[in-house]
Parts: sequence; structure tokens; C-alpha cells
Amino acid sequence: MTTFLACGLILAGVGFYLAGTVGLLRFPDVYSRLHALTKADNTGLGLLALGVALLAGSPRLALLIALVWLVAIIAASVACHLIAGYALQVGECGDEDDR
Amino acid sequence: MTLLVLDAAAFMLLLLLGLGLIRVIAGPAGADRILAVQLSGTTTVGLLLLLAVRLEEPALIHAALLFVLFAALLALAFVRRAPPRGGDR
Amino acid sequence: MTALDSLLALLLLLLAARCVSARSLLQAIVAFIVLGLLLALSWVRLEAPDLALAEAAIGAGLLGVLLLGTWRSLPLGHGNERIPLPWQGLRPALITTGCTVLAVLLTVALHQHPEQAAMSGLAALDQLDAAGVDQPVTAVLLNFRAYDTLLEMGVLLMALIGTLMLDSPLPRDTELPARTMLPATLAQLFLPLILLIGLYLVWAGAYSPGGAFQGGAVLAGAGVLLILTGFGEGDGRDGWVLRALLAGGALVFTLAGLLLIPVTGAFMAYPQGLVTPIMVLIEFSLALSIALSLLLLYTGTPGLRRRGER
Repeated sequence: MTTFLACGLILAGVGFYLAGTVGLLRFPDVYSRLHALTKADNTGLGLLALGVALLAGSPRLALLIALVWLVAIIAASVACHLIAGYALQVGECGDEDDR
Repeated sequence: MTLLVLDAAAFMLLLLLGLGLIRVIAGPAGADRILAVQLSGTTTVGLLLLLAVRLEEPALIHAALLFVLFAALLALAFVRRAPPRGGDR
Repeated sequence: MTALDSLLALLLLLLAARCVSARSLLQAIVAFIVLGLLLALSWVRLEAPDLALAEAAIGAGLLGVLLLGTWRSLPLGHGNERIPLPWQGLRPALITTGCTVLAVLLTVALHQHPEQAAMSGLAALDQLDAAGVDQPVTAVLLNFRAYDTLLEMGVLLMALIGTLMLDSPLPRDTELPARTMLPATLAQLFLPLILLIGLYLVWAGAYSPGGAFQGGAVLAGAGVLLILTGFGEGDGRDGWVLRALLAGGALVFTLAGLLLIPVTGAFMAYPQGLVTPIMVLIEFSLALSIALSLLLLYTGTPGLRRRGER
């Protein structure tokens, strides 16, 4: 039963990764791509981590996996905030990226 | 069955990472490339977690932890810019 | 798993080609960072979790930050000139051909290599009880091949001295977009966590993948986080504490080897009862030296200070 649940969660996580990647490729501008990215970061990795934690077989490893997810969403939200702010700033004063 | 699902999921994730490379290469702006790098990082973390269970190697969870910690550093390093001098920019 | 490995190899080749053929510095840098991610996965598939950890901390993490920081410090317009492609011009073409020939020869050699190289590894595994640690990789690095590791520490210090001798560190007077408080919060949340994980990795080197190099790199990452979020910066002056810590790893390693010669009769041999505490002492002093060297390589200065302090 646990195994079935874990497999389902992992596959659902991969589904969100798929959505995030398709969004990254297909959306028209930086801000919508950011939006797609957060789906993979939060939900995709979250579901996958939950499934993997069920299979890990020890509470210590499950907690470690939970920590990975926690750090990932903190890092991702800060990174996305910074990149969005950067895109806004650079958009105002011309593209200087490929210096 | 579990092994099959783990293998299939890992292959799918790597495939998605490869597809995401299109955005790394095509850009167009620097912010797009860094976004794509962030997504590759998250995908790699997912892969490491899967492989940690698949190969029964808990140390890979530590590697995943390092990747998520350093992902924030990469974004910080990217957005830091030279301070505007004399208002000419 | 074969499908996964094949795809991994294909993506590695693609990214390596992209790194040398990118049309601008930033494009090459981002390709290199992703290459680091895939390299870590390759080490996992090659059953070398130690190297995957090192690649995660150094290859994809610190090196990416270092490259992006250097790119940011370049004057505007610099690096915008087209980088010649590997096959344009005589010299790049010769180098490319040479590398290709070497790669083919190495592949052939690898295929004809007899399966006897594992002998020394098996011998080391046999002697693991005497090493004072349970992790074979750490045992080899700190005990059986201690001399190599000592010299590696020396190489890292030499690299640092060489960087400092250039005497024209790129100005790193970059700043964050001013409107956000998130980086400071990030530093407060992450700093204890990074320090803890770094120290844990050094300690865990005794019984699981980890050790002085991986842990040291993570500790250096804690310093880089402080600099990136605006709490610290490089200083042109150095202090004796910093110098002592930098030299500490190599010094402790050498002294432990020398001082015990009367007891054991050989350089870098440790008496049976004391071997574990000596290993831990060496491991931690090495990790500190490695962390500081990597951090100073990032700032390009001989010292460190709180931001704004004179």
C-alpha cells in the first residue's frame, strides 16, 4: 500500500516537473517563465520528496529529505524574487546581460 | 514494480533536464538562462533523491542538500551588479 | 538504467561542446554550471558518492559563483567580442584535433586495460581496521596516501598565493538590487544550516562519504553567502590569525607526521591507540584551511572584514 502511494506521488511529482519544463520553454516572457518554474520547485519536488521519503524506510532519512525540500522552497522563492527584480531593473535600462 | 517506477521517473527527469537546456542555450536574456539553470538544479535534486533510494546510498541526500543550498548563492551572484556611477546608466 | 546512462553521456557531450562554442561569456558560464550538475550525476552513476558531494559543493556551487562574480566584475563591453569557435583558426583547430585524438586513444586504452588495477584498492580495504576510520576513501586520503593529500593542501595554498601575487584583484564592488530585504533574511536562515552541514560533512568523513574537502568547501560557501548578502567583504590587509588558520591544515598534518617518528619509526605513521583522534584533528584543521583558502580565492584578497569596517 505504502509502495503504491509512494510510486503515485513520485509520478505525480514528475508530472509537475513536466509542466514546469514545458512552461519554461513555451511561455512568452521572463515573468511567466518564473511562474512555471515555481510549480516544479515547490509541488514537483515536494511530491517527489514525499514519495521518496516513504520509500526511504527510516525516519532520519525522511526528515533529511524534508529538510532538502524546505531549503529548496526557501532558496527558490528568494532566487525567483531576485531574478524577477533583476529582470525588471535591466528591462528599464537596456539589456546588459551579454556583456 | 517500485524499481521500474523509480527508473522510469529518473529517466523522465533527465529527459526534462535535457529539454530545459534549450532555454539555457537559447536565452534570450541572461535572466532566462539563469532561470533555466535553477530549474536544472531542482531537477538534479529530484534525480539525486530518486537515485538515493534506488541505489540505497543515503549520502546522495547530502549532495541534494548541497545543491539546494548553493542554488540560492548562484542567483545572488548573478543579480549583484556594479553600482551605478554618476547616473549614466 | 542503461537508458539513463546513455542520455547522461549524450547531455554531457552536448554541454561540453556548448561550453567551448558559446558566443558570450555568460552563455559559457551557465553551460558550465549545468555541466557541473550533470557531472555530479555521473559520479553517482560511477558509484563515487564522495566525488558527487565534492562536485556539488565545488563544481556546481563555488565555481559557478566565482565565475559569475568575475563576469560581473568585468568592465561593460568586455568579453562581448566574439569568442572564436574551436575550429576557426589554425591553433584552435590543432588543439581540437589533438584533444580528439587523445580522447580516442584513452578510450582504446581503457578498453584494453586488464582488470588488475583494483589490487591496491583491495589491499587498502584489507588494512582498513588499522586506519582509524571506517570509510575507505577517508582512510586512503588521510592515512594510506597521506603524502598525496598533504601535497594537495600545498597546491591549494600555492594557488591562493599565486592569485594574491597578481596584486590586481578585480574590483568586486558589486551590490544587490537595493529594494529587497530578502537576501539578509536568507543569510540569517541559511548561515547556521550551512555551517552545521559543513561541520557534519567533515565529521561524517570518518564513516560515510564526506570529509575535509567536501566539508571545507561547504564552510567556504557559508563565507561566500555572507559576502554575497552584503555582510562581509575582502580586505587588503591580512591578520596573523587568518594566516595561522590558512597554514594550520598543512602544519598540523606535517607535525603529526614528524613528531610521531620516534614512536612509530616512520614519517606519517600513527600509533595504533591514537590513530582516531589524530585523524579527527587533521581532518578538522585541513577543513578550516581549505574553507579559508577557497573563500580568499573568491574574494581575491589576503584578508576579510565586516562590510564597511575599516
